[in-house]
Formats: sequence, structure tokens, C-alpha cells
Amino acid sequence: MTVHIKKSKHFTDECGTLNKDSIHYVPCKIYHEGDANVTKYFKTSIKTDENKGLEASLRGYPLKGIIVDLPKGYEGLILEENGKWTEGTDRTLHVRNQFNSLTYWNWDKVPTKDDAFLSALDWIEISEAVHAPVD
Amino acid sequence: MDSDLEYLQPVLNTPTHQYGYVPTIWISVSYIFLTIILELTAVTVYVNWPSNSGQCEPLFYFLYGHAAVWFLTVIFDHYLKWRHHSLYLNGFLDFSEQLKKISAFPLQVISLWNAILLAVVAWYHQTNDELEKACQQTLLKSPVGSVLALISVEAILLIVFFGNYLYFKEVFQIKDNSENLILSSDVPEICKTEKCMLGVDEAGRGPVLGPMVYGICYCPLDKEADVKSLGSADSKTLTEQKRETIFDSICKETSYVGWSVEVISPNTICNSMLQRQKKSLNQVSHDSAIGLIQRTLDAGANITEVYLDTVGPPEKYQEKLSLIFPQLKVTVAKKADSTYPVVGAASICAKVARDCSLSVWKFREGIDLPEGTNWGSGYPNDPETKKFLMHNIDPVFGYPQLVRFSWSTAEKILKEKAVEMEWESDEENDPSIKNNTSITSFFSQKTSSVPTRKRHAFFSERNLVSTSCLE
Repeated sequence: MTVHIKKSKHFTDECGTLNKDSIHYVPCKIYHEGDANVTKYFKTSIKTDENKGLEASLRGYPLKGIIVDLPKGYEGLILEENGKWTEGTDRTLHVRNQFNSLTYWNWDKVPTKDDAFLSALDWIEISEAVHAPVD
Repeated sequence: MDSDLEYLQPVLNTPTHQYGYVPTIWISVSYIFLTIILELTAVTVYVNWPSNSGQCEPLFYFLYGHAAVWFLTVIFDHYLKWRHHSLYLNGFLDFSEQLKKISAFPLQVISLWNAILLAVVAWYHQTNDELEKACQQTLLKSPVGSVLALISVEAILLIVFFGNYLYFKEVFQIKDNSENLILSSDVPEICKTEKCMLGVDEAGRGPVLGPMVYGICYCPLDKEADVKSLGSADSKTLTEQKRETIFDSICKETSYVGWSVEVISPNTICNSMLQRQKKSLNQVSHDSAIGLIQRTLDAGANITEVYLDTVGPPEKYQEKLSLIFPQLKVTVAKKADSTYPVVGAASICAKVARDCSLSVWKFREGIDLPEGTNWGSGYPNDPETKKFLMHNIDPVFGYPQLVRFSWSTAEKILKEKAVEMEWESDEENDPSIKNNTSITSFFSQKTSSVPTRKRHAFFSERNLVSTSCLE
């Protein structure tokens, strides 16, 4: 089984790349698939606190966040799959958008390296060192 | 608008958006930019004017240019007025009044300068038989030089105005209804010298909508009867109009009554109740009351006695307050608002502030409710409030920040009508998820004989697993 990731001919970096404030990694599981009024309800609650950190409120829960740039040389992709995929066949995914940074939110706790998500990005650097050819 | 609402201006100052709600920035920038360009052009023309052509020519260009700037300013002025008027209509009375004063400045300056320039040029005409000769003089002796100097001064004044205007708008825009706000009267001189009593009360503790407001009111001990005569009583027993009239008279008695309110935003309330170290509404209330008392003491009021309605068990509250303020005689009582006039007055201040901030509530979410939408009293058992909560749900985000999410009424409706959201805390509290190893499992035979390879802590700490398929 192969996974094909396709970029449409019409996809350009300028119109396909999302703004810095488009992707939000929230500390809760939302049992919902589909669109959400993020701009209207969530982005309006975002504020900068006195230490330049970000604050927001989601269903009354206080959130603290930071903007995380993706590691150099990496790109975030939003993929879309048409139809259901059945096991054993090839999969084709279409690139809908790409992003270079995201906002990482914690519930009432300033994000630090102790957060699994942020520390997971360490692997990228280590993996590069591990897999680099030995001179 | 009723006169008493003037005292609550900052409550009214709840802009729809945190960012540039009055879109006058760009037009102001372009205006000032144009003024600077014109000024620079004038200077360049003056410096580079060829000596072989008429030396008075630049003077006339300056005057034409100035006339053009005047027309431009008239348009700019009208635009600003129109924009600011919409603010006025939205209830930002003081602010639009102040803006009006500030923004009238450019037109006034330029008109004044028109008059001065006219006088200067006329004077040169009168005192010189031939203007051309005067124009050949250097710098200020020549009409060209003096007119240029005048318009330079004018340009500087306009730039200063602009900075001021932007700063003013900036300061104003910081206010936002997702944060708390404290409003206070000045401390009356008499309250700094004479012993005073202070009453504390709240409004909007129970409702699922809108802010909770804490109010304090204080006066000298011997003026208690005067406060009573203002009509202060438990705010709940009075009509809204009556409360506003009384609040108005409290505000007018600046010689012996002082007051202060803290508007605790619904967002602050639910954020406090839903933070990791959960803070109960009682704690929020205590903190607010203590904060207001402390501020009044810091402002120099000579408070000796404090009266409060109880929040939680009266004895405990009294003990807590006596520990924080050992110098004060603290009385915590049930129904204090009907017993003590200062507490009644405080309850009126709080109630008026709450009603006022609700009546002009601007949704940061940019929600425009259809005309005539009513959310009722905000109390959970009010059918109007229930209806509002039932019909204004966003499936993912729930409610705008007007609603206190931490209220069980809101929680219940969300559980039914919105998508589920699962938070870290819910998992911890849910006993079914705890994977306690049952004691019998130690006696049974191990099912898997293949030892699983334990991954290095580096990976497990970072929640990293290797994967070979896209889920």
C-alpha cells in the first residue's frame, strides 16, 4: 500500500500557506469533525499577557499559549482525503493548506519544554544526527 | 441618556473589538502624511527657487497650497466627526466628547493660520511699495521666508496633535469587557480625617450571564443618617429607575460619600472556576471585597468599621477579614444590606453598575442579536434566560464570553446541544479510567510470554511512538 500526497496544479505557496494564527493545538479532545467558528469565537478571546505570552479562553477554560515555529526544513500540511479508504488499496491525499507555525495551548499552564508536544520536536534534531552519514 | 450613567462611563466603554474599533487611523495617517509632504515640498521649493525668476512666486504657491490644505482639513474634520458621532450613539459619551475636543484641533489651527497668513501678507503689501523687492530680502525679512516659517510651525503643531490623538485612542482601546474593571469616586476630604464606616455588597452573583459586580460605599460615622436619607436600601427591593436615581444622588454627595465598584467579567469568573487550582465563587467574591477595601484604605480614607453581607458562613468570613484588616471593626451579617445604610448604598452602586454594563454589552465575538432579543434577568430559572441559552449555541465553542460557562445551567445545555469536549481534568476525576491493578491479577498466569521491548525514556516522555501507517 502506498500513500500518495498530491498537490494540485493550482496550489501556490502564497495562497496555500496559512497565516501564523491559523493552526491551534488545544489541550482538549473535541468530538467534532468539520468546520468551526474559530475566528469568531476563539480568536477574539486571544490576548497577549504582560510577559508576551498568549492567553485565551475556551468554553470558560483559561488557556496559555505560545507560537511554535516548525523546525527548519519542515512544513506542516493539511491533507484531505476524498472518500473512504479501504484497506489494501493505495491512498491519495490532497494538500489543502500548508503552514510553518502553530499556536500551542496549555490549560492554565505556560507551555514549556516539559510538554510532550514541544519536547517531541527534539526528535527531529536527534534524528538528523542519528541518520546523518558518518564521515 | 440618564445623567447618572455618566458616572459609569468606563463600564460603557466596552469596544466591540480589541483592535482599532474606530477606523480613523488610516485616514489620520494619510492626512498627516500629506501635510508633511506639502511642508517638505514648500521647503524644497523655497531652497531651490531659481534666482532669475520672480522671487515672490513661491509666496503665492504657499498661499494656494495652504488654501488647499484648508479644504482638505474640512473634509477630514467632517469625516472624524461622523465617525466619532457613531461612538456617541453607541454610548461612549465622555470619550466621544473628549475626542471631539481633540479632533477639532486641526481645523482650528489651519483656520487661525489662514487669518495670520492673510494679515502677514497684507502687512508686507502695505509696508513695501514693491513686493518683489521685499521678496529678495533674506529669510524672515522676506514675506516668502516668514510665510514658510509660519507654515512650518503649523505642521509641527499638527504632528503633535496627531501623536496625541493616536495615544488617546490607544489608551481607550485597552479597555475590554473580558477583563475586570474598577471604578471609584474620589475620596471625600472629610473621609480622610474623620472616622468612617464602609459597606460592601455585590450584585449578579447568581446569574449565568454577565459580570458580577462588587460595590463599596463609605461615609463618616455621623453621616450614616444622611446616607439613609438618600434612600439607600436593599437594591433588590427597588425598581431599576429608583436605583438609578439613588445612585445619581450618591454620586452627587461628593462631600461625604465615597464609592467604588469592581466589575468582575463573566470570563474572569469562569476562568477562575475552571483553572487548575479551582477557585470557588466565594473566593472570587472575598478577593474582590478585600481588594476594594484595601484600595480605599490605600487611597487615604480613614475607615474604622466595615459591614458586609455574608458570603459563605458568616463566622469564617468575619475571622478571615479580621485577620487581614486587624485595625478594622468588621461586622459580617445576613441581610446587612437592609440593616446598614452604607451596605444598602453599596448594593445600589453594584446593581446599577451591573445593569449598566449588561445593557450596553458588546459581543467581542461580533455577534449581532436580532432586534428585540432578550436574555432576561440572567438568573438560571428565568425562562427568557433559558431560551437565550438554548438558542444561541455554537456547536463547538458554546457561548460568547457573556455567559458563565462554569454554571451548571450552561454546562447542562452544552452537554446536550454542543459537541463534547474532553479535558485533562475530566480524565483524572473519572474513576472508571483509573487503571488500578486488581489484586487477583497477581495470582493469575501471565498471558503474554513474549517480552515487550521497553522503549527508551526519551521516547516515552515525549509520547513518541513509531508508526508505519497514516491514521
